[in-house]
Amino acid sequence: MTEIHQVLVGAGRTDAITNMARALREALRTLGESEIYAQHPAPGVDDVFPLDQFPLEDSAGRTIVFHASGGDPDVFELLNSVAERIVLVFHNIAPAELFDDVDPSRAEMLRLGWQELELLRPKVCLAIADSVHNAECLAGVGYEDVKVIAAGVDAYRLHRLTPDPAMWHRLGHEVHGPLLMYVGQSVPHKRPEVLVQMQYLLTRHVGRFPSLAMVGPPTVPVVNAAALEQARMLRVPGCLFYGQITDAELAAVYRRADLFVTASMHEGLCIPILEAMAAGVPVVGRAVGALPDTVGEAGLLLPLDAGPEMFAEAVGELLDDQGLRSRMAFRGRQRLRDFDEDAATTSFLEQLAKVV
Amino acid sequence: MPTNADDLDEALERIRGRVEERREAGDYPPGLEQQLDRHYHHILKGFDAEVEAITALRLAVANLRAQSEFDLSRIDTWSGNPIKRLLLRIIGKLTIRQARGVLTQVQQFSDALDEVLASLVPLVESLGGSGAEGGGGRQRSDLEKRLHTALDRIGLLEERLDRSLEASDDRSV
Repeated sequence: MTEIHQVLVGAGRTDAITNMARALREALRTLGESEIYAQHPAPGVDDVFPLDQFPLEDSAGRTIVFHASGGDPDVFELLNSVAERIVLVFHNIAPAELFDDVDPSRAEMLRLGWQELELLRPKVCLAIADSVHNAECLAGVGYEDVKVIAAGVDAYRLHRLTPDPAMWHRLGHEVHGPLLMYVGQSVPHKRPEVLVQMQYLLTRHVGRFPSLAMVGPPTVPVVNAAALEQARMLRVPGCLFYGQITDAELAAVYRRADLFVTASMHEGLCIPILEAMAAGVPVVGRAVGALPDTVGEAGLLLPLDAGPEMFAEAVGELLDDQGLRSRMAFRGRQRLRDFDEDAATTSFLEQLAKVV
Repeated sequence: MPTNADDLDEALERIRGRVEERREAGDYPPGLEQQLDRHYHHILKGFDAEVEAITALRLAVANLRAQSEFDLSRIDTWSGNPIKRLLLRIIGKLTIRQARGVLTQVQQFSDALDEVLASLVPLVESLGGSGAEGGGGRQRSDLEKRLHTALDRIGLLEERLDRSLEASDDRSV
């Protein structure tokens, strides 16, 4: 019987890579047995097995799909020691140098991630990247013939959910004026503080009063805490730090939002942007990493060196121009045709069939 | 790689122009972004686990408060199935008295809990500074940060004033 298991370093309840693995598991189960294993499953994640339960015996004919997004010596040891063929799905690795000051051990793991990718190369029978940018990064460490398939991405996942009524009610009370939103982990390269500073300029220097909803887990807690502290100390009005929320709550935020804004300096694909486009929310970000490819003409991309001043003006420009926002929302939905989940899954399974 | 559409390119040009205008008008004083960035990194550098825990507590309390307004409108009675939807509405109407009673009790409990938290949080914050620096450590560090913020703001205002004076000198010449 065919066995294709997926291995992740970490797994979360609402984490994008775990969700992609979950979607792929459904497809892989049409071929045979398929489970997800992770070295660090978050508490409450009950559909992912801890990696130490990975079945090491009877591995003949089995395949491992490894989702790479960082390094981990235990995961590498397992992958390097087993006889299985490895299919690599690359989601990119965050820039380690930005973590050096705030989380040195994580920075070390990120550097290790690149080294492990190089060491695993001889065992990898198929390399897949979920964006052109990621494929180029993978080629940079010696991988050849990298296929670009954003498999397991369901951009309309939240759009189909009924928004959480309690969150909707809460937004009704807390949001005044237009709602700007950001979704992402609190990690240094996402630059959440730039959004706080943008909100400060909007409210104190430009005379606009939107609300800013910051959503996402505090992966590096000090980054989240410092952004929150800056908002408090500068008395920035309208900053709503929601942290990690449920999918139904997030669906409510997307439903209410007028703009999605990210100041991220590094993106391998950026699922929240796809979800924003599915919700008809125009996107503002930087022309960095995979973002130009992900948003196409549906997003307003600022230069890499754009600071809070430029972000504030970009927000002002879009809030003033309903026509442009509507065109961006329309283009967003058109752009999502290139991220059709069924087509990507079929393509993934076709590539897999060539090596399994 | 897809590029921005024409209307986005035009918007980008307008944005660039407006940033320049505001800089020239002094709405964005020179070095404002750098000051904000320095301010953030100053906070980041000074963060220790204790401050982090207190901030997390403050956030958790704020979140709790935001959700402690109980109302019938927050109870979901929607269903994709129209029959179920109708049934849920009928049941809702029939049990409205009981639901209101439960909500009132929960609201009373929440208000009491809020009072407890309101008195506990400052206590925890003051205890937070009871390490090597003594009881006033946290307060001093908070004061330092506030002072730093205020000095930054004064610096910005001074720069703004200087620019205004320069502009008025130019005009008078």
